[in-house]
Amino acid sequence: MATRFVDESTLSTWNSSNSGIASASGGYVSGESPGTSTISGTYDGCVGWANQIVCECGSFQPGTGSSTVNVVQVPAVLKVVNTQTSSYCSGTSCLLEVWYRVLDGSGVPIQIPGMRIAEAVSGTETGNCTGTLQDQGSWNTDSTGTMSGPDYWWWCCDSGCNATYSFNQTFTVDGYSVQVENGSYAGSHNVVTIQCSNGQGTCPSVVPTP
Amino acid sequence: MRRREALLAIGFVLMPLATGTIASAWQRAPAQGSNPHVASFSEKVQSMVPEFEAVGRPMADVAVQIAYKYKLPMAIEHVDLDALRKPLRLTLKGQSVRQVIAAIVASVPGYQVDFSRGLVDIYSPAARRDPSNLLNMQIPRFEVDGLDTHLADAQLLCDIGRQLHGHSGCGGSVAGGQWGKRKITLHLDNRRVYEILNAIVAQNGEALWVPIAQPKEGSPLITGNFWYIYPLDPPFERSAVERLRELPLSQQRAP
Repeated sequence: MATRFVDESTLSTWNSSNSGIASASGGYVSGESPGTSTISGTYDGCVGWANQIVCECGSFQPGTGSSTVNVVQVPAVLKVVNTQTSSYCSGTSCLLEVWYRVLDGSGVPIQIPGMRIAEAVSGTETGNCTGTLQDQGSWNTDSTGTMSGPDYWWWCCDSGCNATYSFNQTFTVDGYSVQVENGSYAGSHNVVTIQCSNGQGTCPSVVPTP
Repeated sequence: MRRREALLAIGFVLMPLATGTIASAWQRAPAQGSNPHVASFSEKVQSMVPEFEAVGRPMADVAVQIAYKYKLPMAIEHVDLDALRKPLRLTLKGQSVRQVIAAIVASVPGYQVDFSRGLVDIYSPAARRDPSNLLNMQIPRFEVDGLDTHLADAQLLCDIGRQLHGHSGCGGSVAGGQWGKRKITLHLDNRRVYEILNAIVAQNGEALWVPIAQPKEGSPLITGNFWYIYPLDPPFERSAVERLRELPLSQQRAP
């Protein structure tokens, strides 16, 4: 006799041991917050079908099952939480310090220490001088999910240098590509612009851009 | 309640070195500007390792692992395919950290290790002879005073840029605040780039530098950094290993 399988998820009773972490309904489980919960389901067999046309199978048996689920926040956003500027390059330019915090896709901070933040920067210049770019920075996070140290952006201009430098900066957190967000600005990357005029540099402008 | 992005893991069932050239570690003066961290370097490399096994992992991985385990300042100046991919088969008993490192390095042809400058310096003599290798560029004067480690090595990149291109701008995005109160002060004349990096790492005392892939810039007039200095804090170990593995093949072959 051939075995036939029927999906009775919607007719089963579902329960979560901690609905604040994960909820279950109709066979689907939704993560609500980080943590662990046990999801269980119960099927009462064909009893509930007594008044319907016919049981699809005469040998449906009641049963239960359960499984543990781990709900994990996935890094999705790096949000600017603080910035600061100071004089740099012997007073001819400035150093911008930017602190970021890691959020999940719902904007909730991921408060896990030791997450790895990595950047990639590529740049172009227009003007009469070249540039050397130190980048590919690596940070980790503290217990609040904030970078353990700032991202220093700085640019020194030699005398006679007149140029505009533009950089695209992207980030990953534990290997996940993340968006950047600063106030009302958000996007897949930062556009960083710096101008050199006769050896004087502007403070880096860092703007999240779609 | 708003549903959050979540990764759900659910399974649910309802019904049924030994021979390389090793300079004498304790007979030469440490790098200029040494700090108390360097003073303990000799103790670290002399400490005994009851049993050490490196089986199935390549030299570069094992070297990084040792740097983090023993908090040893280290330079891996060069890696090739063998250093990155060739699995080691090494079991040692009752050796010092120094002997273990020497054995690891000696297991890959073309590499040597030096302990004489306040750090473990793993290098390739052939790569040091390669005139096209920017790590061999001689910098007439390198001066930094009381700088964060990453700002100190950024200054080195600025010096390289000026030497390559004449007047220029230099700067970038640097990971700050990772080194506590440790600052770098160095005044060095006519040193090669790798020597300056080694001096920075030795003075820091808890850092590792490795070559990394140079980013592709939108403009040929912009030079990106081709090394990275990692703190010897555990979260950075994986980053260092992964960054080494990302090196393009052309940079992995010994010259």
